[in-house]
Amino acid sequence: MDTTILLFLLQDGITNGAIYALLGLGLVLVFAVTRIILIPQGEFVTFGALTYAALAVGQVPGTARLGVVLGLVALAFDLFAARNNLTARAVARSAAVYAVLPFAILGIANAVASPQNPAALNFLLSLIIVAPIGLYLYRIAFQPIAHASVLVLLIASVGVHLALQGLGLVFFGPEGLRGPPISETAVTLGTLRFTGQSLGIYATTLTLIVALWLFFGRTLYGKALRATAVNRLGARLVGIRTSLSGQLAVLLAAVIGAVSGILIVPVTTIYYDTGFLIGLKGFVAAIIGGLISYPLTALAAVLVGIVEAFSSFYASNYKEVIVFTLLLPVLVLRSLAAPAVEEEKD
Amino acid sequence: MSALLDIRDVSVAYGKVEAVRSVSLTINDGEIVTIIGANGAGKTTLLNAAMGILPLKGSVVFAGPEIAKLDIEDRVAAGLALVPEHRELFASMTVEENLQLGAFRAPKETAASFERVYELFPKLKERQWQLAGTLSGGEQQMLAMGRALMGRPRLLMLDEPSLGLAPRIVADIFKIIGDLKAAGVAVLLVEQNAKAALEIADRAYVMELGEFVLDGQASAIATDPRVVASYLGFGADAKTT
Repeated sequence: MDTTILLFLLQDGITNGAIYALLGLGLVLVFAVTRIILIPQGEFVTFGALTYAALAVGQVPGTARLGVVLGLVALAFDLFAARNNLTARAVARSAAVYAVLPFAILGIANAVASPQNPAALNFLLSLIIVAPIGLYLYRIAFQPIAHASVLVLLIASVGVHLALQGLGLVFFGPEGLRGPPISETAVTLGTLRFTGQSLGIYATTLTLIVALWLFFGRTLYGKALRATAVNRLGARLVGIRTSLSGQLAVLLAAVIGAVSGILIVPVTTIYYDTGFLIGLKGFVAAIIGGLISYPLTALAAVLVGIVEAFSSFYASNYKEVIVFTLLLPVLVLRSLAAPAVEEEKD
Repeated sequence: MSALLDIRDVSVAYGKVEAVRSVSLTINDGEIVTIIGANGAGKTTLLNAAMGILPLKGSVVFAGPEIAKLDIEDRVAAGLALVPEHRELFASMTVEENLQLGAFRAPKETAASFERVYELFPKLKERQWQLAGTLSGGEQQMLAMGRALMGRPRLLMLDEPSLGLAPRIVADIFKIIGDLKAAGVAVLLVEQNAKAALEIADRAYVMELGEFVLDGQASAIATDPRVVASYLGFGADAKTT
């Protein structure tokens, strides 16, 4: 094999791996805090990507309206759950988060949307449209069953995934979309050419990882999330609401998913169901990380990206098969290493 | 003056089995009250129910309002704290982070609370960068108590703080519980080590098979022949060995 191809494939693999790393980290985070295996992570990728692509041509995407609808449903859930001890403050807080916020976002999207918008503005706009959807979904689908078993949560998760995928088809249609790159520049280094987009992917991934690290290591809420992941009862005993941690975790996952989607939509055409497959690659990485280790997940994600790049070069028909087959030896090794997995106790 | 905590006619059941049957208990501000009794008498169950970990039937009034329907988190915000039997520390986080999270509901007073807790438990200050899971049993108990105190509770409920600890450490812990009283924190102490508990408590309840069979001043309970026969005889032996 000649070096140019080798380097090119490596570069391609690392670029994709960076995206999978982000998604894998989101999955590990959500699982650690809530025990939910967040299958709809992939839909956040789709929504982020397609929202960005729609905004780029000056349309207000359906996701902004979805946010309003989900917000209102979440508000109804919230008020109903708290019906026995409603205080004016609690109602005001719920109304602000679940009603005022999504309407404000829809209003902003309507006011600002124009084909001439700079990419950075659309990037931000897509983020604030998609992120609250994660929050509302948690409130509607997961919070009422937060204490159920991992299996029940997984089933709910699959349900949310299917619903969102269907909505994606309604909002964006069956045709794929592409978005404009965040930067048109390119750097040539030896035989390798780095596009502005791939540099943007590296920079964003690193920034997000550092930001998450600071959030978890330095801030009270970050520590509260870790505390919930380490010991749920302990966290409740110091007054950290499990529902708050869950909402925060899924919100972060939605942000991560949307950012990933926005980063890749200039490179690949994204269809309403593309996100699922991308999310699954992040899931492979997260499983290799044991759904618990952040650094291992990030490394595994880069490995997944590289394996994918090489297999699409040598055996492109079997690309997905090869990537998902990576799971088998890992699962075998893990089950050998951990003889008796204790059933969850909660 | 009305009691700080007023548990009235409370029953707790696991499925159909009633572990606690219509017990009533009061604690006043700044008082140390202990519940003694054998293993399985229902002491832990009662504490967990008072904290909201288990559902209960009956009434629990704390610092004025009825709290029996509140979530754990709201009871914490109201000034109730529980140090559970298994301590439930954040094992993979540092001592300092554990304590900081203890003040999650009172973040403005964090600095002052740190000072106060480190004064009560100088050991914790030495270990502040160590992971909670690597502490010794006694230190973990201190950390669990310190974490609870960071939230500035009005009532601290301690579940078997002496469990599994060396006698010298137990003495330290009980001395600190006595100090808490001076600091104005009321304590509800559940203990199998009846002798040590009765020494520092103001009042005591004796629990058997889910019911209170005896209650009164701790000094009177300590000399009650039934208590001496069932609990203190053994406790006194254990202490000398």
